[in-house]
Amino acid sequence: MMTTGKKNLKLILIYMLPAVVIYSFFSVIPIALAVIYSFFEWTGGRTSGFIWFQNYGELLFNPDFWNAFKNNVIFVIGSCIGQIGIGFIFSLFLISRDFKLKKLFQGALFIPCLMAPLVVGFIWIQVYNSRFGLLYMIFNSLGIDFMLQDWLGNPKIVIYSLLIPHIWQWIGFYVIVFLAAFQALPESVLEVAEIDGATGFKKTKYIIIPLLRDTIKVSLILCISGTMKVFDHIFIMTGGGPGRASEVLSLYVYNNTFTNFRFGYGSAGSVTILIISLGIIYIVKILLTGKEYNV
Amino acid sequence: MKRLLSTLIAAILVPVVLLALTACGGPTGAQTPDTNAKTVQETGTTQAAQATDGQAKTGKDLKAEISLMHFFVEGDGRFKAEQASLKAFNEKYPGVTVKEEANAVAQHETKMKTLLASNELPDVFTMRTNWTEDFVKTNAINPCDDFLNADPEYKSAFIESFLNIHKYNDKIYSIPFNADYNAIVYYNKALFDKYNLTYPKTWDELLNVVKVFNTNNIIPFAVGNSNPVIIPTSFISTFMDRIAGTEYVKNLVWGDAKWTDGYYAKVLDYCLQLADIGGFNKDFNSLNFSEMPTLYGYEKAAMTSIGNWLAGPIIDNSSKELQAVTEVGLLPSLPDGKGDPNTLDGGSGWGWNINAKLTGDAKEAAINLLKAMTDRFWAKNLVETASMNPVLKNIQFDDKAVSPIISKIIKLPDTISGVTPVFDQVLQPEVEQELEKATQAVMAKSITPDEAAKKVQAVKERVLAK
Repeated sequence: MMTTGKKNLKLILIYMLPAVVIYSFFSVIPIALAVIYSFFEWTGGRTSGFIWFQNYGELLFNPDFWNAFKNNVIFVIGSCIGQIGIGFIFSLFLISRDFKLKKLFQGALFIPCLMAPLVVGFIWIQVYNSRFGLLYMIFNSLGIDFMLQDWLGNPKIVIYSLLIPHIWQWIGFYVIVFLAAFQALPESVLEVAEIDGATGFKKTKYIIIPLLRDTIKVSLILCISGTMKVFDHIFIMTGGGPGRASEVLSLYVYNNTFTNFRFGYGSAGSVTILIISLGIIYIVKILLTGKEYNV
Repeated sequence: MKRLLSTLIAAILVPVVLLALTACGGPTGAQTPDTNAKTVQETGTTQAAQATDGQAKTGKDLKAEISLMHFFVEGDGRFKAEQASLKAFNEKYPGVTVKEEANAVAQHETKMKTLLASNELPDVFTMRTNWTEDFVKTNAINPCDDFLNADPEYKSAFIESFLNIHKYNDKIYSIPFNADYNAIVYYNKALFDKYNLTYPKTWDELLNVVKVFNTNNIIPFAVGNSNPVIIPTSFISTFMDRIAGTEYVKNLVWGDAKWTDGYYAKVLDYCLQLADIGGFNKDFNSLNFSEMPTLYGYEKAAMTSIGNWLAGPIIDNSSKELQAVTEVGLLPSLPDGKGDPNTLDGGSGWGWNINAKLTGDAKEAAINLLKAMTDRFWAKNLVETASMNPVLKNIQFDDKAVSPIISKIIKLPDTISGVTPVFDQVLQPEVEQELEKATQAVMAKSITPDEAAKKVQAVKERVLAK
């Protein structure tokens, strides 16, 4: 028995090797390098100077960094409520007995998830175009003038204009997650609840949500970590503008690294984003660890 | 049996995956042994001696493989000219293989900086003049004086003041390929005549022109500032010169004049005033600059102030009738302005250079390719197909074969009294980025002009302190 155990272990390690190698190359090593570079003043090329924590100090006292952080927080809160909230509501519809064409809606909701964020950005630029975009055409023909805004040029609303494509893209993903979670719910509990008179909203609030607590926790973690690094479609749609009104942390780091030739400072920014994201996720995890439900 | 199958699958998967990893490697740069690279670093003169000592190979004998990287993609006016030059080069040097890569300008800038950081610059490339300091400090490029002086016929074709723009520490570090004039106002004279207006030469005349056009539902200036360089490159650079004079602007860029001296804030006030009275299209903060020619071409806008680099798209978007009535002019003077109202902001923001690591045949091929991209044949095509101003003297072109707009643009520099620097060409990249973002924020009314001035000055002080 012992020999087969060892052989199994060897086989397991061999299977894991490609994945571990790839993961190290593309995740672990670059992160380690970023941490090392963040302690240097490096403008690319061969010259660099060790400057201890100066980059971090400059970062934390820079109001532009905190402006980007504020935009990121708006994004995270909006995404969590939008993606998970709307995704959850849609999945409730999809498990309802009276709902037809479930597979069609599932597919249709999931298609945006497959789109490259750049494509999403381009599509929504056309939607928001204040001269011939989709929104302009709809509201102009209805005569609703106050909705004819400069969606991407008004600094007060631009961050919310950018939030909508991000939510739109990932609703389908959370619908799938919750549908899978629903499959795992014991039918007997739901049936008993219905016999006892809990239907519709009551059933959702008192039975389904507590049972799905773990799924919601995982979804929140996925949503937060995904949204903290949002970059592509904001880069395409506004580049962080106007001014710095829609600049998020990843865009701030990108601008400082590639436009300003400051690779050390950029690395410090990246490491800070990592630490902040981990911090937020940890806080969420603690807040959501409630009573264990044994069914 | 199952065990054997699993082992077989694992044995196939592991090398396949590792193979896929190696395929993700980058392009190979100049193939030179390490010792040669070290020599280049230590004594630049050894390299020059090597180049002039050996016999220059004739076209057919020269054999090398070099990489070319630039931003003349199909949407850029210079695409056709570059393709023609490359074709001529390939015909002259059949033994040289050129691996070409072109990216749109923003992506080209990012890629070049990444390659600089990883020490994998291509062999022949376009670079911004304000990168020169960083490139020289990392030993990525050598001065061009050597091969310039070795070919007096080539060197004397250049307008000297443009070569001088590419100097750093008194050495020329890149070769210009076109003259940039960034605040040319293309205006529809027929529209002006229709409403009995003359082209405004002063600020007050401009305000009147804006009022009349607005009453008749015509956009005075088509502006697309979603790429935040557009307003600084034309309006800000010019108005700073109008209000404070060229000497002050030079002092602001290279000397100790401060952004908080008050002139920048005043210029921003003027721009805000112009936007508030309807001088720009309402969505100027989110419109892309590529749509400026469209607005002008559809005669929705009477004027657009942009560089000669957008002349090609403007011509493409304008009917023949519109091209015939399009005139070019300068931005107006400002009240209580100290500057000469007849200056145009311009310069040469980009240039070609070759990788400092090149030696021998590869280096010679690279130099010849660089020359092909900047010689008289290139300059003629630049005028005729790209509608841009050359940096060489006395370029003859067929007046009849090109749009009337081109002739006007080529003749414009002869009518001005001086050239003032364009901020995005001469400022340090960090200061330039802050200028762009601060200006865009002011135009979007997020911050006040004074706050913007403080931000830009703070970055300038930090950059200079390094």
